[in-house]
Amino acid sequence: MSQEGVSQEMPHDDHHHGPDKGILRWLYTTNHKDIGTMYLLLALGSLLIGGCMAFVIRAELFEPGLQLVDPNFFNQMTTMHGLIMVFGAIMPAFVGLANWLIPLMIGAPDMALPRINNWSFWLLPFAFGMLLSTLFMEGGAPNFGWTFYAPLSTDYAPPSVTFFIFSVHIMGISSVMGAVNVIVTIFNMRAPGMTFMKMPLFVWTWLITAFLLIAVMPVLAGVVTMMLMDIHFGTSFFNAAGGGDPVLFQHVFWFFGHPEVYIMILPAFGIISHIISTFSRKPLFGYTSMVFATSSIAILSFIVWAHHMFTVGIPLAGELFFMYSTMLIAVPTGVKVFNWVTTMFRGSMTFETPMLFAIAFVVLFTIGGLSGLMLAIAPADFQYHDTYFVVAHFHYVLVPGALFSILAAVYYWLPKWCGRMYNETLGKWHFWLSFIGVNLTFFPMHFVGLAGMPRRIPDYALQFADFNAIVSVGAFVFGLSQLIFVYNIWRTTLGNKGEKATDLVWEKPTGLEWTALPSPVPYHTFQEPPKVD
Amino acid sequence: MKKISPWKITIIPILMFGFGFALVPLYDIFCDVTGINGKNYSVMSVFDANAVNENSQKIVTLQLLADADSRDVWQFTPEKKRIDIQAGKMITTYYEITNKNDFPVTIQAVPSVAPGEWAEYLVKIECFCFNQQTIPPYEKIKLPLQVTLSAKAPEEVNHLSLSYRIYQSESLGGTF
Repeated sequence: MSQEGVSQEMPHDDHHHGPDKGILRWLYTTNHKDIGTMYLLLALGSLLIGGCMAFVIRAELFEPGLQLVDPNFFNQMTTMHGLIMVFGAIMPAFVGLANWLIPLMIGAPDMALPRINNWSFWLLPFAFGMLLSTLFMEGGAPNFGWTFYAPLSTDYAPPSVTFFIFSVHIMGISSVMGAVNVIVTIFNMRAPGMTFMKMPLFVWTWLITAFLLIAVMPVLAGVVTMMLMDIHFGTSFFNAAGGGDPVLFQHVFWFFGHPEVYIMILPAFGIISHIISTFSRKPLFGYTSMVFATSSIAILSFIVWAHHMFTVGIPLAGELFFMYSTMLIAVPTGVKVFNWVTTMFRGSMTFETPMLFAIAFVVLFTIGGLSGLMLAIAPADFQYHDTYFVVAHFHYVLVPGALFSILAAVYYWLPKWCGRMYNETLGKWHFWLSFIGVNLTFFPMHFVGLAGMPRRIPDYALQFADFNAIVSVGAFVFGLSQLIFVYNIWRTTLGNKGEKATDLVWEKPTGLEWTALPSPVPYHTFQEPPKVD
Repeated sequence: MKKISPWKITIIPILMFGFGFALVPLYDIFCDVTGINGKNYSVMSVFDANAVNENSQKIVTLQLLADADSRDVWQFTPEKKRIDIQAGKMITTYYEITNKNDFPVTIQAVPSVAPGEWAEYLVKIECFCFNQQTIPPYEKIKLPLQVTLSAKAPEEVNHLSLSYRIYQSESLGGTF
């Protein structure tokens, strides 16, 4: 904490330097706080770019008929929106939070592999730069949906698919290195006395997420490599003519894809557990059951993948197996929701912005979970498959689920990071506009989906017109209200506005980052490990 | 506190990358063992086919389907849309295909049987899908198919469909 004095006397020892000046600080940094900030800014940028793509989609769907963009460009927008939001916004945001928070929470001076950490981050701008550059290529960007099913993504893909494949490779390498870093940090660098069952839940959920990442990101890399070989090197992994099988693509993809959706939600569970406990002024109910529920969800995520493919013609026994195993996931998830509600029960709750987002998370994520249960029913899924009901389902778990948890986390920890309180009034405006916007956007999608409106189509039948107009208005409200968030963050950090945060920030929060460190946290922390009892 | 090495952790992603590729043969083996992918039809010689139990009186309708491709440049059609097959009785039928180009083309037909779990009861003795076929320019040729029903077919097997999709062999390997 008081290293500045030392550094002036020993200019040759760059260990105790403050950050470099200018752009080089960000290029060369191995500091987990700097890298965390860069990850979060990258995620914010991706969120805004992916949001603009959603605007194009919703503007086109505001009324029936084709008016603004041609169908091929519409398909590019749905594809890129999905890819950017999943790989560019949600995942880097969680890695950014992990970078910022895990060392502070376990009492470590930094991540275990700081140079790998720097590299993991700096791969990403190139991966996404390459992905976005496909929009300007001849033949256009990938247009086969974010799930890139073969043969749409092989035989019938635009030439830019090769750039898409390489960008997936690069971001996969980045994710795997980031995950290895998290695992090694948590295993090796906990402060003395911080046993596994004393670790904060965010650390626990990230540890499990990191294991999911190293298990399935390589499978994704494998499947895009097979695509690459099919396209350029004459193999027939997914080409029926040469003895391959397009359905195999879906199996391999969803073997990655289902754990991937838990990669995007498990850290959220950790964040929400911290916030609800703090603002209910009670310790979290059922810490141990939270740890075991998270682990069970992670293990179950490997045996449910074919529920995405009920309609490809898998045999009855397969449909039943995947239906029941999917429904089994509702049990640990239900345990979590029960624990959050019980933590709030009879707590002396206050409703600051992070808590509002956390409560909205619990309610709206549960709606997404319930529509997931409906989709898990194999016979019913034949009706819902590839309709807007699916779109409603996964947006409910990803937007008011994953994204709300990230927003909540930023509001919650920002005063600790930068030493100033964000503007609570703006935060409340942001929350309520987002809450109304999100529900206006995604709830009517359930109705049009059940009535049979297909997803990924730029036009629709007239009977869906009213609901689609409402959805588009909601999407614009939701999208634009994020600018309040951007402004609030800017004025608190760079703008230096807002009252100074106390060291504890909130009323009696638990965790080393609150109790053992001042606000703002110094550039170097925990060079002497704290004592944990 | 026991330390773990990042190099040891790195083994997991490397193995999982291999596992992704291992899923390809595993998938084929799984489909073969369970007979679920509509691919598990039996192939027999004429001799074997005659040797199977001829006492079975069971007759099953076999529907023949042709799925050239979305552009239907082949005029690929079965001579008969449905035939009755019986265990021990060999049926020969034909598909017709036309090459409208002024150069010879080589095609490969890829079969699929539905329902997949009964595919093993369809016995093929001769099929144009066993080999690639070359069609001279501007010519219509007949592609032979010899099938019979397996004597092992249980009572509930009451219908089978056999469909073919035609691929031009230059496109094998998935260039676009």
